[in-house]
Parts: sequence; C-alpha cells; structure tokens
Amino acid sequence: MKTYNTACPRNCYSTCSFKVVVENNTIKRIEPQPLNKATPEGTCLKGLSYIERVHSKDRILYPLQKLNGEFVRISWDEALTTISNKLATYKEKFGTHSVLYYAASGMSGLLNEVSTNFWKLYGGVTTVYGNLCWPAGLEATRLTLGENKHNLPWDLENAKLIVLWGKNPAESNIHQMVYIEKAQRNGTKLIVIDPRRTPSTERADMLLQPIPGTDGLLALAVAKIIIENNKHNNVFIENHVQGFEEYKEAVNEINIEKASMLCGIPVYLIQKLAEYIGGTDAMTLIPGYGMQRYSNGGQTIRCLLSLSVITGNIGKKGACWHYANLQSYIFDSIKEPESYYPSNENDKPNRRSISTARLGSEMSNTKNPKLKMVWVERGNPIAQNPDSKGIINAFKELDFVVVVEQFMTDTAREADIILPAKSMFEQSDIIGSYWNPYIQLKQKVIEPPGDVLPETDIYYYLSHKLMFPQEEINKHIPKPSDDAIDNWLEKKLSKYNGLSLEQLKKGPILAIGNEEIAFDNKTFKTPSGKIELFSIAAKEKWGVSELPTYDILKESPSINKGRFPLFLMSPVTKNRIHSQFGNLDCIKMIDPNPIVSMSPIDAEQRSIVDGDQVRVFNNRGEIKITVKFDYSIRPGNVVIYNGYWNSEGGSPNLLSEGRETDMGHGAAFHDNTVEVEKILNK
Amino acid sequence: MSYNYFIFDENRCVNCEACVVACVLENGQQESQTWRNIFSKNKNKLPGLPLINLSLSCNHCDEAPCLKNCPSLAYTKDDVTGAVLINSDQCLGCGYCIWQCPYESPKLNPINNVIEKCNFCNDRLAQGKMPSCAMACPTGALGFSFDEMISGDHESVTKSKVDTKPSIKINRINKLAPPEIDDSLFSDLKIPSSIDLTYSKLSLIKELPLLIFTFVVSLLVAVSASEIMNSPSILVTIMFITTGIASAVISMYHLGKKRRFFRSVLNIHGSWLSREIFFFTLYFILSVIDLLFYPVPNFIIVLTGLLTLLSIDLLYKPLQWKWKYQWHSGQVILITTSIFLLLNGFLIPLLIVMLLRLLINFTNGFDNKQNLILIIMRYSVLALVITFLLMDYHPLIIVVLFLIGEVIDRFLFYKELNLMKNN
Repeated sequence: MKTYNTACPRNCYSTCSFKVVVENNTIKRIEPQPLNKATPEGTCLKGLSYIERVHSKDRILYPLQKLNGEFVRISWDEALTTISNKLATYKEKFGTHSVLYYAASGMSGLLNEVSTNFWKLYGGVTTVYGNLCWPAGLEATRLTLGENKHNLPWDLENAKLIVLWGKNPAESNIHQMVYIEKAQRNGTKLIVIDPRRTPSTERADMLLQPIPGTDGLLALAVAKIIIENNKHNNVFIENHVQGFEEYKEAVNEINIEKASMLCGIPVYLIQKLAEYIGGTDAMTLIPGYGMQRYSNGGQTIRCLLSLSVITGNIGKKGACWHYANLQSYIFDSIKEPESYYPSNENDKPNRRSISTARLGSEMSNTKNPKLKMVWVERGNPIAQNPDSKGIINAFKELDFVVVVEQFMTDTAREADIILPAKSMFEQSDIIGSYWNPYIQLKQKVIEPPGDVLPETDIYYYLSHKLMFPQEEINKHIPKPSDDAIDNWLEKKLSKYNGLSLEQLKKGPILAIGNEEIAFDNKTFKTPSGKIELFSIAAKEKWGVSELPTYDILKESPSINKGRFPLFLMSPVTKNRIHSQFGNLDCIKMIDPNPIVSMSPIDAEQRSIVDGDQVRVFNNRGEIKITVKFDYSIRPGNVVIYNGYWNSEGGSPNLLSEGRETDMGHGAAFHDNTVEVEKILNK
Repeated sequence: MSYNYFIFDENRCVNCEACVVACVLENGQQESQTWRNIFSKNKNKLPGLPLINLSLSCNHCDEAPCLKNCPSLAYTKDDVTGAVLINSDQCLGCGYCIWQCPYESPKLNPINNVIEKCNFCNDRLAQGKMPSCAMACPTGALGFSFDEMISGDHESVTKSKVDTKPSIKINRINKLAPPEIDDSLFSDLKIPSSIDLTYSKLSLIKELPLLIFTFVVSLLVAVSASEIMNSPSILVTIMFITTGIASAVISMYHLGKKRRFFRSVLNIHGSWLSREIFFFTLYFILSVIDLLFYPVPNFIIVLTGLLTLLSIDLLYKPLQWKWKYQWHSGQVILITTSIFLLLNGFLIPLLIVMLLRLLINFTNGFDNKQNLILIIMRYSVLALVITFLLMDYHPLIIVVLFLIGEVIDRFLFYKELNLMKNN
C-alpha cells in the first residue's frame, strides 16, 4: 500500500489536491490533502468516485473498431495502421484540412500540447475556435480589467458582502461554500441572484429570482440607484476608471419601473439590492458561468462587473470580481480568452478553424476541402455542444471518425475506431486551476489497465507510422516512457526557479508571482491602463456598445410569441462534470434517471403532476423525461441538468441551437425556450 | 460512557452527498437504499420555509433499541469501538429494528431479505481512522471525534421519547430564517397538504400480514374468554384451530428469512416481539390442548392470551409517539375488549368502551381526508350495529358488521402508524 499526492484535472473550479492510496496497481482510497488551502477537506463525490471510475467494468480497455454496427476489439497495430493509412490518404487526396481535430476540456494538463504538436507535424488540420464554457465572461472581464484574476479563495472571509450572481458553488465549487460559511459566521451578508433556489441559497439573506437573460438590466438599474444616492466611490473612479461619465449618462436613462417589469424583480427589492451593494466597502461579487452562455452574455457580464467598478470593490481585501483566476496558468503563452480566437494569418499551418458553438452546421458546411475525418479526444461534443442532432448528422456524413475515450459516450458510439484513453492516474502531468492559485502535479500512480495507452504514446507511434522526420518527432513528441514524460515536464518547470517535479510530488505549490489580492497595485492591462467602463475595443472587436448595455436575447419566450413559453435552464449538477461521471454505479445510485424540474404553477397549467412522464420540446427536438416539482423555482423556467447523455435520453443539447455569444466566441446555448407536455398513457 | 462519535454541523451541510458516495465506495454497492442518507427538512423547498440538511446513518447508540429489541439477537455492540453491528446470518428479516430505530439506520436488503446497515467503518476505527463518510466530507459538516462522549452531548435527533444515547453531536443552525424572496412569485402555488415538512417517515400500511395476524389474535382471545368456549361445537373448534394456524402462517410472510422463524423467540428477555411470539405460541398450544385433549383452566388460557395482546400493543409502542396520549382506538387490547363485551351481551360496558375509543379518535385528530373518511365509515358501521341490535337482527349479522368496524379501526391504526422523523 502506497500513498501519493495528486490533483484532480477535471474542468472544475476547485481542482482539488488529494492523496491516493494504491495497492496492487489498484486505486484503493481517495483522501484529503490539507496542504491545499483551498480544498483542505478533500474532494467532492466525483473525486471519491475515481475508485470506481478507474476500474469500472464499463471502461474501454482496448482499441475497438466498428464492423457492421458492432464494436470489436482490434490490436493497436491494426488500429494505428488503419488510422495512419486514412490520414495519409486524406492528406494526399484532399489536403490536411479535411481532418478535424476536436479536443475539449475532459482532462487538463501540459501534455495536451503534444496533441497539437502532432497535428502540426501532420501539416495542420481544421480545429475549432471558441469554447463552450466561459469565454464571453472572460472577454468581458479582459475588456474591463485587462486580465482575468481575482483574490485568492480564502480572501472571501474578509468580505462584508458576498453576492453570488448566477453561481451555485454548493454544486459547482463546493469548497467555496466553506469560506462563505466562515464569512457568514463573522456577520458577512450573502445575497444570491438566481432564478432557482439552489443549495447555495439556503443560508442567504436575500434571494432575487430574475427572468433569465435580464441580469444585465438588473445590474444597470442597481447602478442607477447607487449613483443617484451618491453611494459610488468617487475617489476610486477618478483614479482608476475610464468612461464613468458616459456610463452614468447611459444608466440614468434607465426606467426603474420598466426594468423591474422586464427583470421580474419588484422595485423595492432592486432598491434593497442597491442598498446592500452601495452600503459596503468590501463586496466580493461572484458571477457564475451560466449567464454568459446567453446571446447577450458578454454584455451582461460587463454590466455586473460595472457594479464592482463604480463601488470601488476591486483590488482590496474582501473585495473583488470573482470570475476567473488565471494566475496559475503560468505555462500558457496565450491565455484565455485570446487563445480561443480563430486563426490569424501568421499561424496558418494549423489553423483552419470552425466555431465550436456551431460545430454541427459548420462541420457539414465546410468546403475546400470538405471534412472527411474527425479525431476527438477529451471531449463528448455530441452531448455537450449545442445542436446535438446537427453534430450527429455531421459525424454521420464523415468518412472516418476516431474517438479517444474511456467510456462508451454518445460521441464514442459514432466512432469508426475508439482508442482507449488513459485515466488521470496513468500518466503524470502538471495542472493549474482557474480558481485556486496552485501549480499541481497529478502523478502517474498505476500502470494503465488493458491495452490503454496515453495520447502521447498514441501520437508517438502514429508519427512513426506516418514517417514524420525523426528529429521533428524527437523535438515535439515525448517517447513512450515515464522518464521521457518526466523530462518533458521537468523542462517546462525549469523556466521557473524553485519548481521541480520532486517538489510537486510533495504537494501543491503556489503559482510564481500570484497575488493574494488581485489588482492590489491598481495596474490594469487595458488600452488606457485604467478600468474601462467605456471600451472602444468592445465595439471594434465585437460590434457591441462601448458601454455595458442590456441587450435582449436572441431567443426568449417573449420573442417567440408563446410557442415555447418556458426557459430551459441547463446548469451543472454536483453529480457530474458536464458529461463525465454520470455513468458510474455510485453516481447512478443517487442520480439514476434524467429529470426535468418545474414549478407546480407551470405544471398545473399543463395538467402535469409530480412524477409524470413529459415531452420537453421545441422546434429543434424533444426529450422524454420525468417531471420533478420544484416549489421554489421561478415559474416560467424548467431545468434539465447538463451532462446527461443522449443514450439515457436527457442531453439538453437535443434542444439547443448552435449560436455564438456576443463576444469571446462562446456558445449561447442558454438562449433556449421550450414547451412541456404530458405524455398520455396509451 | 462511550468513545467515538459523529459531529454534524447543520450550518455547513449543503447536501453534496459525498458522505453517501464515500460509504458506498467503502462498503460496497448498497441495494436500493444507501446506508447513509441526507434527510432534508423541507426537502420540497417550499418557499418561505428554511431547508435544513442532516446526514444520518447509524448513530451507534449506547442504548440501541435495534439491539435491545431484535427478537433473534442478531445485533451486537463492539465493546472497544462502540459500533452497533448486525450479524446477517442471524437476522430474520422481520424489520422490527427498522421500527425501533429513530434514525432509519437499518435497511432491508431486497435481494437477500436481511437487514444491513452502517458498521461505523469498524475496521477503520480499530486502526485509529475515522469512518469514511466523515473523512470524505468536503465542507467539514460531518466530522468525527475519537474522544469520550460527554453525556450531555448525546443529541436527540428526532422527537423520539426514547433516549437512545446516539453517538452524534449536532451543531444546530445559526440562521434559521430563509432568505428574503419575492413572495408574489409563488402566490399561485398550491401546496398539497400531504407534503412532508419533516425529515421523513415510514408507513406501515404495507404490512398486511401483520394486520391480519394481530386482528385474528385479538378475535381469538375475545372468543377464548367468552362463554362460547365453555362447550364449543366441533365447528367452532375446527374454525378456532384453523384460523389460529392460518394467521400464524400468514404472519411469517412478513419475515425476510422464513426458515429462521424459530430464532424469533431468542430475545424474550428484551424484545416484545419475541414475547408476542412466545405468548401466542403458549396461548395457542394451551387452547388446542384444551379443545382436543385435556381441559386447561380457562383463566390460564385467557391470561396467556392477554399477555399476547399486551405484547402486541407494546411492540408497536415505538411507532406511537405521534399520538397525543399514545393510544389508538385500534389497539388490540381495545378491540378484544369490545368484541368480548359484544359476544357476551354486556352492552352498557360496550357502549362506554366505544365512547372512550371515539374520544381517543378525536383527541388524536385526523391526519388527512382519507383517514377522516375511514373514521366516518367506521362509526357509520357502528351506528348500523346499534340500530340492528335495537331491531333484534340475527346475532351473526350484528357480530359480522361489528367486526367489519373493528377491522377498519385496526386498518387505521396501521395506516397512521409511522415513524416521525421530526427533530
């Protein structure tokens, strides 16, 4: 029995450190690692479930090839020969851009760079630009503050007011709840703004439940009241803010009564929110990532952020804009969101790119050359990208589909060849976090089961099959050995004094140069060097207003005139990271079947009772699913958690449209309206 | 004094279920019900009411009612760690411990039909490690102490009148008021009266074999005490014996492990269930001897019958906390008395007893509409009985009608029996 330090590489705020106990090449136990100050009590239930996940009976352990609709086991040599022949043929006949390389956020790590290296050596392929998660908010923040960073997680304890705006940390970032609870014990007020009553709201002082997509207007209405009552921070604004006068003029135009009606929040509660926000000098405003997945997402985030700006709640203890903290991303040459932008001319070889938000239609419509093949790794686009059906169709039109996967996901089912993917315990890598400030090593602690090979090995063998120049291979793709991987990582670390694998094996290390209080020095990397409420770049780059504005959604019940009168919200659940984990027995035990939550008020109008089977549908598709009553959700909204698989009948992307956000090339799949109808028993 | 206890902080639990999953991963897949569960007060999230979570499994009580009342002595307590453990090889699957436990800790495994439950991660405790659930909690809501428990810290988690001395200490919620919201959003909300604001409850209405058995026993004892048994006809003798055997067999249907039924009398010392079975067996054997072979003094038969009835009523006692005076008009002792009085024509005392039972009904109140309808039915039948009595109808019709009323009452008793998991 041996214990190792490691960290969870999932697409999750918390990025927990933990200890893993290994015996006979088996993961026996997951234990807390108190050295990580942000996650000292240990992982969430998903982290615990690695014990099952790694050794799951359902895990794909061998290369599989689809023959007559059935997957059969093949050898690595067969798999790699088939793939390399295909790659060579496509390159020769149609050009390398006929191959789409699609990678998502399934596992983070520096070694993911090797994949890109391979495809560059191949000659450059089609890739996707944009990101499904957070780019609209990142871009909104970058335009305003110049950088995406925030105070360290534990600074929350110093806040006097915490506003969770569209964030539900109890399910998406549970360790944040620890600091919120600590702060509350010292008298900090907690306000939550969310159409739902989530587990994060239970101990709040106030819960405002706006109509989805109107958060920007709510923020501007609050701003107007704050400025009218002279509760804004004039000194801070004078020294550090550009464009306040224009902003003030614009918010002055807002009619509070009208805003109240559009947001669905009574005037007295808007005023109360303004009193809370205007009445404190230490507000930490924590926006979630859901709001910026609407078509007006970027502008919404700029509106929210303006509240922190005008009240001077940036760059001091207990006060920050807590959106994304990229301080541990020290190895990235281009940071998000800029790394998501489509190709520019001087990066030609590897960059014909198509929009990830419109993946299905763009895959189908891409010409010169048409797409012939897709390679998918670390992702499950069929369940997770908008317009599931469009993506399935696009996959079916292709000649050849390769998916690197651990489980038989919706995307894996569409593959011609599935290559078994490593688990996090089967190859070392280095990860950062977008919430806590640590650099962490996730160590290799077991040998991969079955015929599993890490992606780096797969690419190494493939590059030999394709006869890439040996010196290029040596330069860009590590050899298939633990030592080669360690050397490769060590080389990355060597740029930073004091970072080494040996040291990281002992536990998490604070990122070099991280700031406890972000923007403490009031340096803002914007064109003007100040916080930009008025951003010329916003207009030039994205065609939105220079100022934060409330823009109406592309799709909402009021626009489609009652055909689809309900908003479909598709937030994350604690039981999954997007489409990962939900297939495991220990998760199925507590979350067995997809459900749609709805208000009994909406249900009654449709003669639906708790537990009924219903059809949730719109003009794009339908889902047959069980109803669960939610007595506290704002009527007019229904919820299907994101991450259910199509194969279990529940991916909300069966209903979403491929659409980009107003900035940052995000996916606006939260503009999604539906109707719900009872399925009558025959 | 005991060592080792859970510490739960209501302020920190956000129902993340890491403890539940940790338990499943530690102890293996758990059939249909997990050993540890989060009980949420106001789990339906009714607006304007707070929602409070409580993570519960076995609290390894110092005075564990499951252990004390198990008829087959399948439970033991580890002297060193304090763990209350079930030996599944000895379990009958009768489920009596489920009624006894105020925390819903014992679970009936539907595959092998025996009880399984939290074992305190006893092997881990023996190595000085805390249970997996407590170690896993990412918010620090569920903690653990290896120290000696101070007697004042035993936290009564439910309204249980029995202090089981659970090994858990609870830090209560600081902020009880739910967040301020816009109530007008929910003005059209219809909240069904059946909605459960308490932690949860267990209904016994599905226990039909037990209803039949206990009702038949009360009928038989009433008959035994009546004149009719002084010189019974062959028909009465046959009916008496077949009914008795049939009801005993039916009652066994409620056991998970029918072949282990003989173990059910092992705990006469501590369990009313064992006593019930013991006294009933004695009563029935004596009755059969009396009927077929050799006269047994009637008072001995009636005494063993009464002891059976007493055992029945007392074995349901842990389920009766909700009733104001802890009486129900459908208890067997009242049913037997009433039937006895009717069979022997003591109409004035019968009237008094029936009025008393009516009074009990009213003081207990009515849970819901359905129960009210049943009570109205029950007393309508009684009114019919009285009418027929006055009109001198055939006694058989009167007795049958009367018994129908009694069955309804016994049905109501089962229907209203539930474990209140109220804090």
